[in-house]
Amino acid sequence: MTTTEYTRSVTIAAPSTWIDGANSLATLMGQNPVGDMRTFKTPTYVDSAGVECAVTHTVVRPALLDPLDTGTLPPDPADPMPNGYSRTAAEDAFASINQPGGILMAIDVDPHQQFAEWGLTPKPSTEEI
Amino acid sequence: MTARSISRSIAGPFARSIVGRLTWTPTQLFAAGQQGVWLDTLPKYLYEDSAGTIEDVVNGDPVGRADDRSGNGNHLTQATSADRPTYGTDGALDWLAYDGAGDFLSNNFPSSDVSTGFFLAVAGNWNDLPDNAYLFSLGSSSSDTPVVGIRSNSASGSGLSLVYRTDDSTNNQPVGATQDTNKHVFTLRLLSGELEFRVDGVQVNNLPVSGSTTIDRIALGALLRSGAGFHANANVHAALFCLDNVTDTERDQVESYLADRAGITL
Repeated sequence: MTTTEYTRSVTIAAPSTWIDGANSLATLMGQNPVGDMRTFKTPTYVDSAGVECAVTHTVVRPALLDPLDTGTLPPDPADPMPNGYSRTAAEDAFASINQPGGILMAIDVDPHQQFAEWGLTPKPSTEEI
Repeated sequence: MTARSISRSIAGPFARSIVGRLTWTPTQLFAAGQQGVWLDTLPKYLYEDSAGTIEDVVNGDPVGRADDRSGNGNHLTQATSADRPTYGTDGALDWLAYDGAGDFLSNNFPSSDVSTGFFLAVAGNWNDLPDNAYLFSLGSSSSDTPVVGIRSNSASGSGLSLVYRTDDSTNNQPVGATQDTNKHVFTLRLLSGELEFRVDGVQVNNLPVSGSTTIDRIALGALLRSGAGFHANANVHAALFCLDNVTDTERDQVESYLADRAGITL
């Protein structure tokens, strides 16, 4: 039996103002232009200051994390890239990682514990029932 | 001796549990072309990508497609990499792990009024119990109103519950079993206007319902909404939805099959 190549994990919280950039960054780093532009959708978490965030957590191959060490993003994985993609927005989003007001990212953690450590709580449910 | 003669010569549930596993599969529920979906989490039915081209899923791999074994072609998929559940196995059992942070598998199918009769079954467990974390759901791609699903429900204090909301927003919410993080087989059956909810083969609620409920989308690990979804941090071993009037015997057979998939003793 072979073992999985997906030995790392990424947990991300994107403030509302960074959602579009975060989606471009996810599409760029994820190397999966089909679908990854919808990685971050409606904010479902909020911090104590009222900043709403869209969150995600996923397993990844180790190579996906290389830009975090090198500071260099890979080339666009497709030509053309999907509608809404912006390399500039992806680069800006990358530069914001773990900066004040920027995208929050943690590696190899339990996502729900990490959301709590970031001070994020689920937004109140709008379910009618 | 044939399988049927063996079952008559050995009394009770033991025969059903042994012979049932050998001779019966959910394929028979769909033999007349009934609409629905049947999902097993064995790796031969799973793929890394939503297109179904990357096979050989192993423990820890993300899953972008789970084949529908009902014959309807309603394969459950996930095109967004970060929203794919992860395949897990301990060598004896198989499951898909949904992280509660956006994971789900889904598919659309022909718009159908399920108030004519349906059967929903899932074997799995929640890993935590927030409000509105759906393990399995039916809904509409064009409206948030009609909902059929099984969810954790901490807010009301009523425990695990199911939701059945019709096209005219009439809410039916049978109080469910005390919720926990253990594995269970959950079934929901609408038959002759009665909505029956069972856990591990035992009825926990039953109530009359009326009104049309038109759905065209199924999801595992979440209830999909026009805005945010209601995602579950959960493991699912197998799931089934059949748009038909399912008999007591068929219901029991599905429960036994799902229990076997999840390593649950009914």
